Amino acid sequence: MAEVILRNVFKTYEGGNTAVKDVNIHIQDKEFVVLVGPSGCGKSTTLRMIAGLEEISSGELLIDGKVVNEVSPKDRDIAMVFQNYALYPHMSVYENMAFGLKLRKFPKDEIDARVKEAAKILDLEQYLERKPKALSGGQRQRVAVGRAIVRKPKVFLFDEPLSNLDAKLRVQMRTEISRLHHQLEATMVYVTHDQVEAMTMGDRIVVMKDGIVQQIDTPLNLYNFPGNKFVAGFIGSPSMNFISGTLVKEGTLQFISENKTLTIQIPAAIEAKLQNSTGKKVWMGVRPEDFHQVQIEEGKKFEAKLEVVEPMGNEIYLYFPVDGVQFTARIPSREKPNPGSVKELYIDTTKLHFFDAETETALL
Amino acid sequence: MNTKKYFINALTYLVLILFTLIALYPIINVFTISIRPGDKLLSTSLAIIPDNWTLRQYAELFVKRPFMLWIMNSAIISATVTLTGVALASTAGYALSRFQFVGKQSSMLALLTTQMFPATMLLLPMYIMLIKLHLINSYLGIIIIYSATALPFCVWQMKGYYDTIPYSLEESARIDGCNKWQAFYKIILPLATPALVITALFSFMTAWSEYIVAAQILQDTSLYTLPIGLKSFESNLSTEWGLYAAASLIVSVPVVVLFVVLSKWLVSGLTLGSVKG
Repeated sequence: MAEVILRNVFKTYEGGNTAVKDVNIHIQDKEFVVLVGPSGCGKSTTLRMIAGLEEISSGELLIDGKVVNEVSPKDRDIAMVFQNYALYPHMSVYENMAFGLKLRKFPKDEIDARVKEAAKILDLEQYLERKPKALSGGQRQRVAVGRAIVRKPKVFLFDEPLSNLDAKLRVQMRTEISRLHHQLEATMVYVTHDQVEAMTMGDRIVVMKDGIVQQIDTPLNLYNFPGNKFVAGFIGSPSMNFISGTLVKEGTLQFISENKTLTIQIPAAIEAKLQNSTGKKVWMGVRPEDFHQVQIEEGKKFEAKLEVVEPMGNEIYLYFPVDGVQFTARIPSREKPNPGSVKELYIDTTKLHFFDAETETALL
Repeated sequence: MNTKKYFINALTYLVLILFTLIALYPIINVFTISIRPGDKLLSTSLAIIPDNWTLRQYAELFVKRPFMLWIMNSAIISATVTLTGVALASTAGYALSRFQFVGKQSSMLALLTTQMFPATMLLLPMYIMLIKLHLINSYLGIIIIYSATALPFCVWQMKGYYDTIPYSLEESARIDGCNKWQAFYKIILPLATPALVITALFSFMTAWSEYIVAAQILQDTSLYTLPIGLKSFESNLSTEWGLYAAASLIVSVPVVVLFVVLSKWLVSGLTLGSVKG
């Protein structure tokens, strides 16, 4: 059992700058939780507080049921993989991995067995005698992971471990870490600013902004039911299109964009939920993949004057203005329309998202 | 193209050879003087090994003069200053690099300020202080003064080197099971070897070849260090150049050896590969 619980955790630096505000996260045993958000959102600070590298200004941190606010990093039984690897350059790969075990006075045979086992899992067996400087970026990162897994800690912490790797290696390491999670059945907390990593790796994702937790949910729930406009825009690539306007009741409920160039009939299925917002200013959100080239049921037809067309191979991104705002649509790649041409598109109105204009919280 | 490259190479070597000769000439000259027979000290001959060369001067140094005593004194003082320098500069530099505390900025400035005055200017106040502490004519007195002279530079340069070592290495060590002290001496200190070597060399040189302060503070002949001892070969009437030359050469040997031995640690890039750079 290795639950990690953050209760009303704050981090305030000298000078009054608050980096983390009232964070409450309950990380289950064996769960893979990803903290994600833009730079400066407090995700790394939160992780470092779990590690014990930053003091907790107020609130409680529990690991395995015990409050560990005042426990030093070495006694928390955690392991951490850093963004810049942080390998000890004067030690060989073997010594790097064995260091933590030696300090904990493990018998030599067991150290040897554990290091070799980790090296086997991570395909590092032939590099054990090398110094870190003789390794490639990917190998160094694997050593850093190895150094964590030999310890068999209660909790693994990852601080943007893949952001220094090139794109191909990043995808490879991503799957390796996911595989390790299943293999080791360990509690893992992973920090990243990359929402693709978050979506693909996490059992649950914690989205943060300005030190505040915006939403905690499974990847698909975050995607389908974002709690507010920030989460809706942050999760998903290309990101959700937003347009501001008003909900008006004219017989049925309608959304009318600010410059009145787009009017959308709200489908009966969601009309009831939006009743309370009638007459109010709202943000409407459309995911790029909810545009279709052919007529669909509950589809709102409109003409898109294409400004930029980006073929991605398997699909095409179309960029066009709607009511003065740039929209992105993602359509299957069959033919490549010309920039400057006008294309008929249908918005799937059953998949629309609505957010309060003031509070930016989801209305559906 | 090739001719041009050849020419530039030749020119480079020519300049290097010229400067090597300029650097070597005084040493060769001193060596020649040290093995000349007594009656040919002021000869203008350019021969490196003079006619009737002799090791008499070297023998006299060790047999008739208290040269061994001076070496001992210098060695004890220099070694202590070096150890003090390394121990204090490595820890003080670390504290200044890593910790936030009241008076950090002002103490660093204060250290720097001491470097703004020439040693001769500080001689009088230091002399007065040592008298009040009853440390005139003692190892301890001169060791304190040399350490105080060498430390500001050493602390600053250690701090500068620690600043280049990423924090994440210590953090990683602390998660691996080190306390703050272990993270310092198991991880950071080995990585700071180049800076430690410079600190050691600088402290050693400060003590080994210093004359002015030693001449004022060490008045008892049994406490003489090498530089004062050498100066005693000089008198109003005549100077024993042969002995002077022989002693100078012997004095420079430990320094040369130290530089050669330690130079392999003076490599940069020791932290290469630790973190993504």
